Amino acid sequence: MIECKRVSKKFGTFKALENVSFRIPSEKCYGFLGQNGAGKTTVLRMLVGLLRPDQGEIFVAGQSLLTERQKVQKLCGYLPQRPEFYPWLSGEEFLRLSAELVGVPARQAKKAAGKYLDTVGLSEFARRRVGKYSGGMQQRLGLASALIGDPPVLLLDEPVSALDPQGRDEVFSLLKKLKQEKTIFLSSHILHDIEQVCDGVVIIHKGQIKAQGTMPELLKQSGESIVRTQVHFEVDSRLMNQLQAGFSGALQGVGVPVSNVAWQEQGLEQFFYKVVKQAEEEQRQNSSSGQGGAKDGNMAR
Amino acid sequence: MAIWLAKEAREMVRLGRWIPLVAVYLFLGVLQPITFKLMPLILSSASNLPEGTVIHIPPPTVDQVLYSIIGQYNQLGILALILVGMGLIAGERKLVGEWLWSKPVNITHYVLAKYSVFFLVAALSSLVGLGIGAYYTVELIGPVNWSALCQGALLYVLYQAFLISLILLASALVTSTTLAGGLALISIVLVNLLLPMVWQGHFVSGLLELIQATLSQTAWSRSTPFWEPIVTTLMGTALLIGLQIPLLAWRKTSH
Repeated sequence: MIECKRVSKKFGTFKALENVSFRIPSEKCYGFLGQNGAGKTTVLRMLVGLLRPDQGEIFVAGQSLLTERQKVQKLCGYLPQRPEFYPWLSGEEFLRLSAELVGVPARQAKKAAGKYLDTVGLSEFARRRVGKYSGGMQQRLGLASALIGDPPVLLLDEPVSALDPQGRDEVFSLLKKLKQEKTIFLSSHILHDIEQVCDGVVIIHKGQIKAQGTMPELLKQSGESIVRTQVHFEVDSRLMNQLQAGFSGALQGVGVPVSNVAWQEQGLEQFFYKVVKQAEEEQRQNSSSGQGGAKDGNMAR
Repeated sequence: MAIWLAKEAREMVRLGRWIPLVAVYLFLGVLQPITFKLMPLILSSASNLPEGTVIHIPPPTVDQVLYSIIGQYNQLGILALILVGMGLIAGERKLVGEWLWSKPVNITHYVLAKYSVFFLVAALSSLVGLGIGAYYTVELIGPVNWSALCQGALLYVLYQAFLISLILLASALVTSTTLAGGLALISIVLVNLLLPMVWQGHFVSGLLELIQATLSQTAWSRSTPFWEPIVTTLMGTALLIGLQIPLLAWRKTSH
């Protein structure tokens, strides 16, 4: 359904993608996993016709993106990483515009807008101007805009990055339903998100595809029963000791196990702060929903 | 096309883009006849002349007053047009480009809708401004030849159509609104200053001469037929609008 063949892209002298090839079967949900800057957004923007590859071919539903871009764009619903829409339109007006752009007749556009606002939980904000939506609401609206017109392919660039835990769960539940009838390719740098909903994964690192396949295939390749990501940091010994003490202490304090952490990177105070905050937040969420202590925050995986 | 027209009309109203156009054109329309009428009074009270000095200012003619409105439109009016038009495409591409160009947008409809709504508001504003200016001219200066005024106004609207196509092309060229405004301003200055030097009586410079001749009800004195500036300005406008379509289609993938 989605096929990239030896796709390369340079921005000036920077090689953003190098011989990227992968295939995503129809009516499956695949995750696109990679660090920030690995090339995920570049690939997704190419798939929807926003960037042209320097080399290689891209096919979506059998149509070549290079020669049939308009047709491909009708087949794809795309959610950008940072969704920004007309702030002076209401949510409903924006979705009506989205609907008509993908070919929904004007008479049915209002009904379609109402349906998808309901799907993403924004019905009560239908008449509010998009400029007054929060980041999470804009992401939901972007998802509705991607879904409208019922395209067979969904390309979602970090679709839950601005959502709270409840919103993430809702979106993942929706995606689980949608993958029965659509091909979904969603990017994330959080393995846990991908695991929740995806049948398979494509892993990209520094513009090159490192692995691809279904989850069982990848686990079989690695010979382990769990997928493990390692985080490498490098700091000077004095700072490392301070951070290690503070970090471990903080995580132990909230019941998160710390394992397999190698310290090989500089300047990570901000990062640790975020990790600790995230762990605390997860602990709070889990306590309030009666699930006990957080056992595996994203960091400890 | 209808969806784009509706969207552009909403944008024009909700962002208050019509306000500078209406305000500037109406203000200029009213200002000119009043200024001409009160000029002797203004000069005598504002200038520090020795006692006993007599300034003799011949009373303004109606066509002088009306053409001075067009002259003001050509300065402050153009600035208002640039202010409104510079972000119409550039700003939109910057704000929602990634979402917009991922959709199967018909670029011809997109460009035509932007052009139509902007032109409609600008043309109506300038026509109403001229109408009000003519009313005050009748009241303060003397009777107006309405037929000549209508012809002159329509010719000015044609000139505006050309200016708007130039401004939108500048806005389609770059994603910075300020840069688009600068580009549009430079292009218009070049058209207004350089064109009459090298191509007097033709194209846009010929059109401005034709407006003056029409308002003053004088015969078209150039060797070229009077319709030549009209036809060439129309063609230039169509060309500038047409250029935006492949430009934006190309920009879609290099966003």
